[in-house]
Amino acid sequence: MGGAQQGMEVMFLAEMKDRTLADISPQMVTIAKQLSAQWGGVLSAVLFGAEVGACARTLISLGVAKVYVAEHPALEYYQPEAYLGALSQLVTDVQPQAFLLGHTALGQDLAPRLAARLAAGLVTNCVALQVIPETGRLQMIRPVFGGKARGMYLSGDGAIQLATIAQKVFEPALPDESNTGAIVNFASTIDAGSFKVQVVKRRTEDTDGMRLEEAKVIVAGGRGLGSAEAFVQLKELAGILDGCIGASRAAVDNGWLAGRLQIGLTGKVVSPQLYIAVGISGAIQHMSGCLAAKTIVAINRDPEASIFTMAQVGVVADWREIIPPLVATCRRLLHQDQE
Amino acid sequence: MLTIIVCIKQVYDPEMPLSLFQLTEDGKLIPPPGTPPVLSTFDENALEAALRIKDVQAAKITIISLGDKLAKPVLRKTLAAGADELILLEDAQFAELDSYGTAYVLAQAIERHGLPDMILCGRQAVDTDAGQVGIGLAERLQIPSVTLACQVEVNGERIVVERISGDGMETVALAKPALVTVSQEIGALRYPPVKALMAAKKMDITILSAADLGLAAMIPQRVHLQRMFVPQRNKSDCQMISDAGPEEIAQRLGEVLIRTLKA
Repeated sequence: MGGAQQGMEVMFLAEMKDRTLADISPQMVTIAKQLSAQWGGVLSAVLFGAEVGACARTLISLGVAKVYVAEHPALEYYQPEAYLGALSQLVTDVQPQAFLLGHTALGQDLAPRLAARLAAGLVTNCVALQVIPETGRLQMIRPVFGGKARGMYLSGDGAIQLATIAQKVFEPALPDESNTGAIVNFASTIDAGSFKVQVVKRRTEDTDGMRLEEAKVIVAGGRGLGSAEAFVQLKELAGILDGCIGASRAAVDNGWLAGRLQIGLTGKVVSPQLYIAVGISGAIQHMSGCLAAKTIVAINRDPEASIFTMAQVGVVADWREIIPPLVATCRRLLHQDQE
Repeated sequence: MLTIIVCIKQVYDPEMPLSLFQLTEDGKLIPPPGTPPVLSTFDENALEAALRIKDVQAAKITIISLGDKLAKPVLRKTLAAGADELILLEDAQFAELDSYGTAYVLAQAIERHGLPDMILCGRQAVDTDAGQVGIGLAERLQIPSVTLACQVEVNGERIVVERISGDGMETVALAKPALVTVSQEIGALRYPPVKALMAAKKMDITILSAADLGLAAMIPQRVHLQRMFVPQRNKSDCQMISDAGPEEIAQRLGEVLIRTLKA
């Protein structure tokens, strides 16, 4: 894996969702493009799945020079062994300078496998990356201590550097139809019969038709709610505002709401227009999942709660006194608009 | 009998406010003197997963912890909770290993100990949140692995795992030996009875150094932690809605919400 033969390529795994590019992919283009410019190299992407042609063209319009494409039925859903086999083969052949993945469910599972397989270094959940001009090494910054501090890491000698990119940190790249690039098909030998991990059952959980990551409005509840029943009121408010409900880890740990609705470090990362945090103290582990919201509104009984240092609008009160009249007010105001 | 190894890391208490730490010139975060470390919570979840298996079938649980200056009384809590054996990999060289180096040393120790039927790790450590040692270890030992388990069962030769996937849940099955990383959904570590806490104090533990493991002078690593720092967080200019009764506050807040949505 000698550094001398390394091509000056910065490569990333583009993720798809329902046959279109997943949100993370245009964000990946932005940071990967910056790094390839700093190294003076080529920006390339990898696409796995079925019917990926349209996505490959979208990536080119976003500024990707080369899209490696592997279409195979075994690659349509994420299966660690299939993805790992195909990717490690490609990365070993191309020898890019760096390989980036999103810090998504897929990336968090796949990146450590790929790093181990390639005996490469990996830094996960990066919020800033740059090439040090003098040495050509990659410097990566990531949250540590639950987001309270940051660690600054430097890539080592020779081997390819891997990194996963935090969600919703980089602005998505914008398409420009005049961009050109190449689509390269690569054959990958996948023997589904050799897989050691078998998926017995796969269940997509119903989220009332709306995905938390795509919601424009989120009403989230925390420890201060005190019970599962309390979420009925938050749900009512969310319904009126055409949004979703979410929860902090404390609420999920108490069994008040399903784990898939957890927002924060070990849950979802969201960026709604409006984030209404009810009975949430503002622990950084939770806030790292919602700080990208355009407006954060906090309702908390404790005037010293740290959420008030991060919110744009605050109410110091018991939520039980505020939510019912707030539901009525919102309903009235929206109703007036329609008339 | 089923053999299980649970890898457990000792960390600074994640609930401790950052203001209590000292940030040194060279970018190290030092906790206040005298504060005992705690077990990384996700690793506690992994031990709980192992104990639930031991509740229903004969199993031997071995705990392996790696680091420098390990807090034996804290780690003995795992024995009190129901683990059978505690192996500490303790050496000054192990103080600041990266994920690659950590997986390397753990793999070495497990190979010497003998590969168990199953290895359990927390999904990530609560201090670094990197989430790579478990899978790195499995790859090194060339055994299959599954992440983010919220339920683990062993039926004969098969391990069945309920895991969290991107948009829901998955049930996966794999053959022993395998490694599983565990998520918090599995539940908190049971609280050991006082009697067990007393008994655990007297149990033998094994301590192995780098030399005992036959490790070369230099443990291979891939990335270098340059320094830590505390990000400047711009305090938001929070507009408080106050000095009124709940009805009035709700009215004003409602107006703000609707205005925000239309902006």
